[in-house]
Amino acid sequence: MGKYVLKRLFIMVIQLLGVVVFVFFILRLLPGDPAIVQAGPFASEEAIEITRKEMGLDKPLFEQFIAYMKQLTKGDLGESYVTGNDVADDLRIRFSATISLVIIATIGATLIAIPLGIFQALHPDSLFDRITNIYGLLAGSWPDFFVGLILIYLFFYLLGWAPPPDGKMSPLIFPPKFITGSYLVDGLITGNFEAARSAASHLVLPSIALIISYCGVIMKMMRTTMIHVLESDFIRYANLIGLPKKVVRNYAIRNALSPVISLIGIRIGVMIGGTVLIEQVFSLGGLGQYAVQSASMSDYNALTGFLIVACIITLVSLLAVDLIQASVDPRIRY
Amino acid sequence: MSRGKTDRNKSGPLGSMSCLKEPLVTKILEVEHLVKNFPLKDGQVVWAISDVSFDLSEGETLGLVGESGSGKTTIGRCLLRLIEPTSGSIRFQGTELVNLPKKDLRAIRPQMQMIFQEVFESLNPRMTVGDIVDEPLKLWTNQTKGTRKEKIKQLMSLVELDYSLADLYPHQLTGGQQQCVGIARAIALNPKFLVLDEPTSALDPTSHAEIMDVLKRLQEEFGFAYLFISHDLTAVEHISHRVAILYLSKLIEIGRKDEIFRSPQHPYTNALLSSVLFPDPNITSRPFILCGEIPSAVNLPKGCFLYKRCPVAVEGICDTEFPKPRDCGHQHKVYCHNLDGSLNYFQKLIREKVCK
Amino acid sequence: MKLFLSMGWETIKKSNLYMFGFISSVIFLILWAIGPYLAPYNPLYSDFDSFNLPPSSQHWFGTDQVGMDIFSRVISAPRIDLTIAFLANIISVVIGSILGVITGYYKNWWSEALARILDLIQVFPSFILAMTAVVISGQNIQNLIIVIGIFNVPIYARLVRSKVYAVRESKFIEAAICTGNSDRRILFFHILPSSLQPAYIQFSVVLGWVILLVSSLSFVGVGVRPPTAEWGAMISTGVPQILIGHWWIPIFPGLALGLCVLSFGIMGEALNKIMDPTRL
Repeated sequence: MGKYVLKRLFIMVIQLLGVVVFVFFILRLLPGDPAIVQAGPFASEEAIEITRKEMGLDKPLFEQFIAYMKQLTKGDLGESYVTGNDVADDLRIRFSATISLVIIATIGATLIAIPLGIFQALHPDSLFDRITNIYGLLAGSWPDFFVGLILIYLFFYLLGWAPPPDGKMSPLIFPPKFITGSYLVDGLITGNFEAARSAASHLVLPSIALIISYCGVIMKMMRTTMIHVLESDFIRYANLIGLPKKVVRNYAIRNALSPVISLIGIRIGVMIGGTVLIEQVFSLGGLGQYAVQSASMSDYNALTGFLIVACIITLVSLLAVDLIQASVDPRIRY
Repeated sequence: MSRGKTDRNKSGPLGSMSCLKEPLVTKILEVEHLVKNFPLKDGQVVWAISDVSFDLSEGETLGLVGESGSGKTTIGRCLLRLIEPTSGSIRFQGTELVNLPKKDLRAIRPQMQMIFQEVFESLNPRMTVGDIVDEPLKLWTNQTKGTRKEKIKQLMSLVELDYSLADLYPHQLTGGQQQCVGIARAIALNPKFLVLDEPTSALDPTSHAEIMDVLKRLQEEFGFAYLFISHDLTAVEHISHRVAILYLSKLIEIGRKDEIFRSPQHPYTNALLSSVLFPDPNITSRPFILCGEIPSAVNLPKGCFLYKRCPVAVEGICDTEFPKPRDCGHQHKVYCHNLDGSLNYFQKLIREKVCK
Repeated sequence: MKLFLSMGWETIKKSNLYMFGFISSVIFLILWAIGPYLAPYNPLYSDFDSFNLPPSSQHWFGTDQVGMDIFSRVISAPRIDLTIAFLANIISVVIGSILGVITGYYKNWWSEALARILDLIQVFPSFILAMTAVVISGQNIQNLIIVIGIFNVPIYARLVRSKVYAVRESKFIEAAICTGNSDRRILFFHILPSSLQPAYIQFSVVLGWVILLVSSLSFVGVGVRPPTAEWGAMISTGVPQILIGHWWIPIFPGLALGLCVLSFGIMGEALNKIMDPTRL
């Protein structure tokens, strides 16, 4: 197992390198001149030329790449043209908001979708199955930001249960000391429970919106694989020799779980994209909002930095999923 | 079309036990020291065929028998170079097939064909029966559409298919009909040699009998040489002139059908025959069951592969090297160190059974 | 073809869901063709005397904050959304199929490398990458189509590749080799037709995803720009409005967007079912 983890970590480093190369070159090889965007719409030729020099864009591409890689080994992602801060710092501040949303939504969606899918598969064509099927169809069709909007309308405007979508926590409360960056966790650690409560309540609606959007896919997958497994010969045999229903069911669940787990891993990358939109709606001030802002400003360093971080998150979660799977599924050999 | 009937076909299914010399016929296929192994990731290799040699004459059927995993299907596929043999030599009508350039190989393809075990999967689901049978004609002859159509009609009637089926798709046919389409396609270019890879094992008994009859009739009419791969000994007994027995990637006994079935020499052949009931009273059933498990094809044992399971194994000989072939006359070759022991052992067994 | 159509119709007729998806898809296609002509108001005309009006008999879906008629805008939007989605999807399906066949059929290092790269792109948070690419290459509809088209290539490449893998190993290919087909004929005549099926069956489903992607990009302001009638952009302008209770401004375009994606999704399922009736 240890050897397998090491091997996977090694592969991950290579993948990451590939990602960096890919991101760096694709951003720079695309048609469009960042210097022009950067210098502004009314800049003169000279001003653009100066900006280009400042950004180091006048050097050959390969040289730029070497310089960037050198920076990167020191953990330096360069400076954001827009905020003027170190990109690494910018990302660090915003990281926790995004990651807590992703974690909560992934766990929530998994915990809800898998039992629902199992129940559906055990009672196919029941009323419950039909209702959840319709939900599954609907959930995949509406964008998560739209779900978020409806939630805001219902729970903030109409019912008044939720706080307004005005950030990570109420602006009226004094934020806790920066430790992890997550106001919820930092509030709990420093004993600033008011802040923690407010931060938690601000996370509820965005998490629900993401869960509603992502539950459907996982549920559908669980249902299909489970039905497939239930029709397989070894389950028939288990029923024939009269094993208790519960035991048979557990056999089936264990076998159906594996592909579902890998689907969840793949969906995390998609979910990060979704988080960007959700953050936008709830103005959560996470990586997503930062990315949108950098993208609309053509902030190369910020974008490259963000993409690298996003890929790290995706790759790490894929690794985690693979490890979970390796420990659950005896067919996977290290 | 050549109608080379051989004398052998007329001598009836059981032939004669006499020591008369075989009529001289041209060898169509000579396989020498054929080896195929599949490397594993960890550097080990799986042995599918290790050092197998045999030959095949015009109009002759060689039955290739062995349990699943013995490498018989791999031999068939290697002969047609559907997979590349690791080493050895395959001479087809004097042409060396191993390492033959792709272009030349393709030119030879029409002369050697295959009939598949996976009846349905071997037919392109998007082509009609007519198209399937037409394909080889279209590729290899310059005939017009009209003449080809006549030829398709002729071919379909040869395999007892009604021409009205020509517009149907494979999934609309029965298993037996599908196999007939496969046969019609294979014989369309009048090949010299056909590999029959368990052609009936996926079919029901009725279609099985029909297909066997069709194959036998076609051979009598056109003089095809067959390599009949099967684990069904009764079918092999029915169609073959000679039989080769495989055990774990090795050839262990080869000879004329009557020799193999009436006086099997190798302990494994004895065991194999004792597992089947023959309707033929001339074939004595043997009350013998082989114990133990087949060794792994990855770590082949040093001596005879049957050593640990063999009732007449001799320590110090059988576990040191694989036996060399011993000639028992009439082209009957056996790969066994202790032939006499085997003979005595099984004769005793049969006597005991008869006494009881 | 005739057989296929009648078989398809039979399958659709049997299921209420498929019927719903079929009718709804047809409606969206009609709106795509003639939507702007059906609109009661000019979708780009802002009437400053009547802004933020709730739904009424005059303005069925109400008006937005600059007084544009939301109903007119909602039914005009398929023109732009579906055009982008169709063109982008065609780019993806063509390039994806070609790459899928190449990476599936050839077993050498560069096809392996290509396959790995395609896999890697799929792991990316593609939405963000697409967003970035659109901004940098210049935010216009042409670039939007190209970028989305390219970023969805791996979906089809993967589908086709795995099918090519399966078909390549099948017995009828072996039979075709025995018959003496040339390599090229095997690839184009025997492997290709069977391998492309999953790609074109999936076309409709992916079309829905692409519409989602277009509107998501517009929502964050890097796709189609307001005041063009586009669902995502319309929802985006409605975000501040919903906080003060003007729900109709984002909700109606959102509902139309989801309905459209849903319909194409259902049509995709129906197509799957027609092609392979044994499916669950």
